[in-house]
Amino acid sequence: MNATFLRFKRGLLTVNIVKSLLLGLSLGLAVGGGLLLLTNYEIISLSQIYILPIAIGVLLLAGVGTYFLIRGSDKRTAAGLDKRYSLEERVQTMLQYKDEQGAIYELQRKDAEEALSAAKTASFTLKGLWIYVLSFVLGAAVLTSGIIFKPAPPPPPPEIEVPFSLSEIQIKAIEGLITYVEGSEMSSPYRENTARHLSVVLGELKAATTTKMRDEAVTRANNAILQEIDDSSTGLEIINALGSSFDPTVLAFARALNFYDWTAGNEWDSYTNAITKFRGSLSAALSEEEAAGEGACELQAARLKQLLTSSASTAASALQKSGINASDAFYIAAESYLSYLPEDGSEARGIALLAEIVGELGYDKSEERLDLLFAALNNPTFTALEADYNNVYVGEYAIVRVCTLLGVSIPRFERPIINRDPEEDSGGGAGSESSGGGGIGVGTVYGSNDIVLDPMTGEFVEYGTILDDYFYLDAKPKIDGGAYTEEEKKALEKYYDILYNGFDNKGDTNNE
Amino acid sequence: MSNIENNAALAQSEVERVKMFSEKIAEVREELAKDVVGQKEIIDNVIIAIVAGGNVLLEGVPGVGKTRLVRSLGKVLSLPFSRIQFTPDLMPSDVTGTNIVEKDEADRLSTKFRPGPIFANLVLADEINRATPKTQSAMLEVMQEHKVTVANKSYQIDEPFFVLATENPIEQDGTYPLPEAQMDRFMFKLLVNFPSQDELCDIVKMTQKTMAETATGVIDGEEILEMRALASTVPVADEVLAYTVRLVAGTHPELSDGAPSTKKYVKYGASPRAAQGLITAAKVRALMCGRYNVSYEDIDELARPVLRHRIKVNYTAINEKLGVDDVIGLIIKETGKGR
Repeated sequence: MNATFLRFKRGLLTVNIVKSLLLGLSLGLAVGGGLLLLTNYEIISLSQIYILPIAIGVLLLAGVGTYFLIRGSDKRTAAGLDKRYSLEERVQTMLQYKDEQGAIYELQRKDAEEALSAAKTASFTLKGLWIYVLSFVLGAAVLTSGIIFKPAPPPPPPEIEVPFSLSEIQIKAIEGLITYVEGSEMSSPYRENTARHLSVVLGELKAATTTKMRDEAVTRANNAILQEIDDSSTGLEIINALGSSFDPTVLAFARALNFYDWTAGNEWDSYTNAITKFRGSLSAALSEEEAAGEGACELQAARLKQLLTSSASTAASALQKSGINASDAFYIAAESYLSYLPEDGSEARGIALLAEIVGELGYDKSEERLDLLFAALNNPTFTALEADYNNVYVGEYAIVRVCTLLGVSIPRFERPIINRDPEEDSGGGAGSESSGGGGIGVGTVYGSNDIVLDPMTGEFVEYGTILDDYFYLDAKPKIDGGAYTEEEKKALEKYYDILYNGFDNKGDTNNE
Repeated sequence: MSNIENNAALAQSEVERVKMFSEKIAEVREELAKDVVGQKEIIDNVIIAIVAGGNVLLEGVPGVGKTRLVRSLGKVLSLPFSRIQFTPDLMPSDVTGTNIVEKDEADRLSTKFRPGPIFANLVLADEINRATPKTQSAMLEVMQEHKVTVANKSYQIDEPFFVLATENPIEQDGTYPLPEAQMDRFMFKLLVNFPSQDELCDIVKMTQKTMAETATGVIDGEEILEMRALASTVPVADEVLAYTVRLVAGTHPELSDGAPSTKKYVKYGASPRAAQGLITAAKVRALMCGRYNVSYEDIDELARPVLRHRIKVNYTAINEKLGVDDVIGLIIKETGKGR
């Protein structure tokens, strides 16, 4: 086969590979872009992670398929050359009779080669390449479209303006709430601030015309009141710090404080250390007392007092160094306890008590009593923390009340979670006793300080003041009149009993 | 001399022979041009047919130079030439020859074959369609097999042998259209058209000097046979051969692969002799064009002379005023698509 023909054949092979690649790419890009468009506009449901493998598959299939389709055999190449350059079938004849011997064949081959040598390789092999280039450009355009064109995000739903106007009853209720706050036991200036926030929200609610404006006003007021509570309280930090301790005494503090839902902003680790150190000093003193044995009580009592005083001073010093301010609730509580014995002039009695405990009960029993002593620390603490309690209680009540009156969602109040000892919760432990002193206990009408509308007078009064009237005018006639079954009667009587007398700690009335 | 040297010498002589082909053809053309004005295509096709060993039917109105062309050709070819004027009363034996009874010196009677005018290398069958079919049929054997059989005895005619017949397409009275079998024996049917005004002018001028042909012989029968042998070796690509076969088969309306125009306009198609004639003639034409292979163009150019007397158009074509050549043109166009 002559060299000129081979040159054309090689050129054609190269160009055919390029053409196949271009067409494969074109189809791959077009399919990928098309699928992107279809999935973008959700015309078909196909995860876009499959698009790349599909496009690559199409590329390979189309590329290989195209190559086998357009690859030229020698015959096709020869026919193409004859046609392209009007060689009057010289090349095809030459190819067919390439092995024939004879003058006519030699002349024919020479004639064909001369005719073919005048033709240019590129003009033959590159013929029609532009179609493949164009298809590649189109494929790239489809892919670009698939990347660029995405449906516009759906327009946000139109805000529905629900009309709102504050009713007279709501106005009176909020005014009553303001009066309640002003007369509450919140500490100053939190009390005045909270009342002012309520006055502001009342003005805003009067001017509000839509529920959106209402909600915004209430949210602003809630945030302002919560900030007041936050500013006035150190409870939360105290509870968190105590709750992370493994010391049983400290945990006892935590449980007690948790019951009151305090919030606070001071560090508590230092205090925890101080209490632990204090407790350790006492234990050491007791150990020495035990070692001294009976008869040495007086001497040991003096020594114990010294140790106790020293430990107390150390604890107080630690509290101050820890950055807990003297005005903080717990500092007051701790200081109150530490200064308890000397102040009431009974330090001798206290020391004697300790000595007596150690002498009479021995070390183990002394430890138990000492625990009780630390448990008693709760009481002065809670007493001292009552201001915080009032601030939080009244503030949260104001928020809940406003939200309830206006039908707005009540915000979530932060509450640290500390596991309570079930035995202590249900039994008569230190925590239980303290709960009776600081919260709602026996003898208190449940919810008695809620402000409700008195239907008889049309005024807002505390719930507890009208409970009797409600029971005797509404509930009792129905009970006596046989409107309820025996079972329902018992349930109602128990309900009112709870309202009047509080929860029965021993019973299961909590569930009713 | 060694074999290699022998082969080289042989190859060289063949190359010379190929080159001589073109020169001889050119000389024949030149000589014919002395007596025949214009009609170059006719002359070329006649030369092709002679080299290819085919017979030619020349059709044209009277006076366009048909007979003159054949007579001049007889001179150029330096071959024994005879002319048969076909008339209705011409008998077959007037053409082929017959056995006659002769008395020898001893007065014994015997039959002796007296060859007719057909026994020549170049036979002019003038106005062949004036003879009766019986006489026309007498030409069948000699045209195809180059032999004459009389009284169960065959007489071979010397090669090369050609029949060049003429007919008048206008005058229909007293004529007998050639039967299909007769037509098929002609390789070409050439239409001799009326000359252009310039050509006519030259014709008039030339014949004012002398009516006799002035061409001289430049080629003899042996050389023609050599040229025929050379032409037969010209290679044909399979694609070209297939195209030729498609073209001829495409003239048959009854075949499924007939061209659309065939199915519409053709009554019956060409015989296999058409394909043979096309390839044979195309080989000669290729050499005449200085090419050493047959091209599609050769086939297309020769398709009309080869096919026009072998196919018959139907009334649809006549109704649409389409001649045979027009229909052949359509068939070429349809068959040639995608080749």
